[in-house]
Amino acid sequence: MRWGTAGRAAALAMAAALALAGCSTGGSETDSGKVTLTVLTHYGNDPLKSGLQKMVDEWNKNHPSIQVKTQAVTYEDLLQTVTVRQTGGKAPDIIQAYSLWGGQLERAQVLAEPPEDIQQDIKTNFSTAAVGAVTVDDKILGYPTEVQTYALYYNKKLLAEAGVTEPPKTWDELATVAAKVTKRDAKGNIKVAGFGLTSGWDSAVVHPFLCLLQAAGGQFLSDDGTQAAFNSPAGKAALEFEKSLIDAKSADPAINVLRAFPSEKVAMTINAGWWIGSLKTAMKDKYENVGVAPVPGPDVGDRGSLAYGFFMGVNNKSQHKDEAWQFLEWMNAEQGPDGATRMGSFQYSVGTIPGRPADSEALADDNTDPNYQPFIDALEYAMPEPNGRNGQKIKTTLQKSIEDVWTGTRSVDDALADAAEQTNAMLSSG
Amino acid sequence: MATVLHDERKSPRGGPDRRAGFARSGMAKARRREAVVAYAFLSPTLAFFAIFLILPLVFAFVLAFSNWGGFDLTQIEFVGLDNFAEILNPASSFVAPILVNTLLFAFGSVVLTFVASIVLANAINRLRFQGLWRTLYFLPIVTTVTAVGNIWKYLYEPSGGLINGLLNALGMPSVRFLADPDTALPSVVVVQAWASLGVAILILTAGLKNIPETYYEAAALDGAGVLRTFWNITLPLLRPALLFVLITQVIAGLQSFALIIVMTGGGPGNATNVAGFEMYQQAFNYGLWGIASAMALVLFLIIFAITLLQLWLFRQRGEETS
Repeated sequence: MRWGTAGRAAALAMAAALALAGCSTGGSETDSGKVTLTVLTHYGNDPLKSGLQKMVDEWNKNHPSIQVKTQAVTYEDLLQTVTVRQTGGKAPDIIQAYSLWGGQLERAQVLAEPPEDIQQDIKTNFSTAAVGAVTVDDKILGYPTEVQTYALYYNKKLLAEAGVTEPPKTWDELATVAAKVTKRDAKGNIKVAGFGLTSGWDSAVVHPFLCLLQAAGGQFLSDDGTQAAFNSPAGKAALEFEKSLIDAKSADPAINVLRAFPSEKVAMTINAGWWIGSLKTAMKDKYENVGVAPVPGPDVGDRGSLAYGFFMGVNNKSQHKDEAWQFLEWMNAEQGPDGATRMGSFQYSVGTIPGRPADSEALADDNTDPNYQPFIDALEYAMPEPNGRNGQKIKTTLQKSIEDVWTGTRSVDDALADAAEQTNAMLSSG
Repeated sequence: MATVLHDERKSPRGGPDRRAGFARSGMAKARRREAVVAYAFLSPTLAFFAIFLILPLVFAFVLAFSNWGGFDLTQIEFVGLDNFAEILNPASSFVAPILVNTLLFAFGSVVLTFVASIVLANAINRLRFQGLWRTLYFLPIVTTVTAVGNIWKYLYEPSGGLINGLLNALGMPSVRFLADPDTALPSVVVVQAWASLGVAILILTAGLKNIPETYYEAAALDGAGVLRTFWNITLPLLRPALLFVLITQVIAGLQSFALIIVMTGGGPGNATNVAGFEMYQQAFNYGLWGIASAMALVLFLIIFAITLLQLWLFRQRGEETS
């Protein structure tokens, strides 16, 4: 009996101890000198998942002492997973992150400083947009793995049906074309929207506005990044232009452009280069109707775009920082068999612009789709999305102000002044 | 254990006093052993509660008075009441529109659920195949919020949605249910009420079954009509069930945010933003855990106060609720 009591108590205590121990182990494993690195990404679906795995398999085959393991979560869960695992002592050695999160990661000292030669390589050999996307307070956070820029997507067939053969080159032209192309039913419901604006998703609301802002000669933040600069004549003109399209019933933010454009119910919209791949999959043969042009501004020759990116950095808590940088350098800097870096070839194969212009040049012959060109051209002039402290909160604040203007809840002046005031407070509170 | 005690009492050694002394000390030992065993068996549950309930609660309380960006526990910085000053500042959107939306969302959906469930529970109580009706009304509860939210989003679509299709067929123009800041919150409230109807009906029909038939017979003999019987007999005797439904639905409404994420993402603007969603945004998207925890503490105090008020109001009416 006694043995039974004590035995059960001991067994329970042991089980509890084991459970607790299970909660607290972490870090990279070493086994007879072999190092295992973990890479946390949002590449959970093909072709991204298999593309990354192919590179990792090649590395693992040639580097038996430094093995790499990939772990993928959805994009929506990526920042949350990094937060939880970092706090819980299960931090991955290499983290892939959205450039906008850079300020947050930098403030919490999540990422290790890249070695000097890698920093130099990034500063010298990557596009301005790519470097801007991975720089916070003059610090480089990691290797830019992909860069996205924005341009104007249009449906040639819908424009041609309204007698339009060329994409618009000014805002006035865009408004005229949008009005011509828009079709409504007897009850006034939009059947085909001339221009696509979508509410409810921060990037879909804020990024097109920032493209129009730049096209009108404005900028998001002041040059030193300490003050909001969008509450300017250019910012007001850009937002008033969007509102005028809604008032003219050529655009309706209730329409989900991501669904409606591929089903040819929206004629024009502003989106990033990654969308080409999705459109090809969704539209199949009808993709031939899609054209891409620079985002126009108030006058002929004005153009605007926004650049953001993803990067891979090394965790400050990693036990194997040197090995992690070695792997990242091999993937992002060393030339592969086709003359481009492995990461460049991989990104190019899935329709994304690599951050290193030399990669685009080496692979140019592989690309026959002219729709990529406006996105590549935009690398030269696109405004990098500000990725300083409170970047995500500033973006959401601006999204809400823009939506308030779209729905007529607030005037352009009020909404931008309020967003600018809040942005300034957030920039100074970081 | 019982066997051991029995054996010691029957021990042939020593007189009656010694036997009593042995018995007492034996019982004490046995109780101690029982306590050890009891705690040993309870320890996994206690550890579970400590790790997953007490620890996060204490952590959230500490964070409400701190500045923390997530990631590194060594970087928690005590800031006193700064977080509360920031979120309760009149210029902050937390009080208005977010808390106002939260209360409108909770009370709006509770009122709809409450009225509809009383009517429907009474109706079901008079029908045949009651199990079938209860199951049908319970179905939204076992459906995921994501599916419910997305289906209603399609129903509400301005062009091509079923509801606007019906309105158009009746000669009326389309309503921009989720895109118009004036109609967005009421539209989500209707879905929340619809989705929580099943539980309320289940509890109320069970409550109705517990009302003795003799009261209704007596009322009928006294010549009471349907409405009078409902008002003077059904409602007062249903009060414990009603209180339970009211309290749980208000709490669920105040905490709810899944439907908001799926249907509107808090928009347009802040038109449908509620405290639960804002907390999630502050913590997981903005990395402002102190602000998020302060918001959680304020919401907790509001829920606590409302629940106490509800209990007090029902007790004022002279009804024991336990």
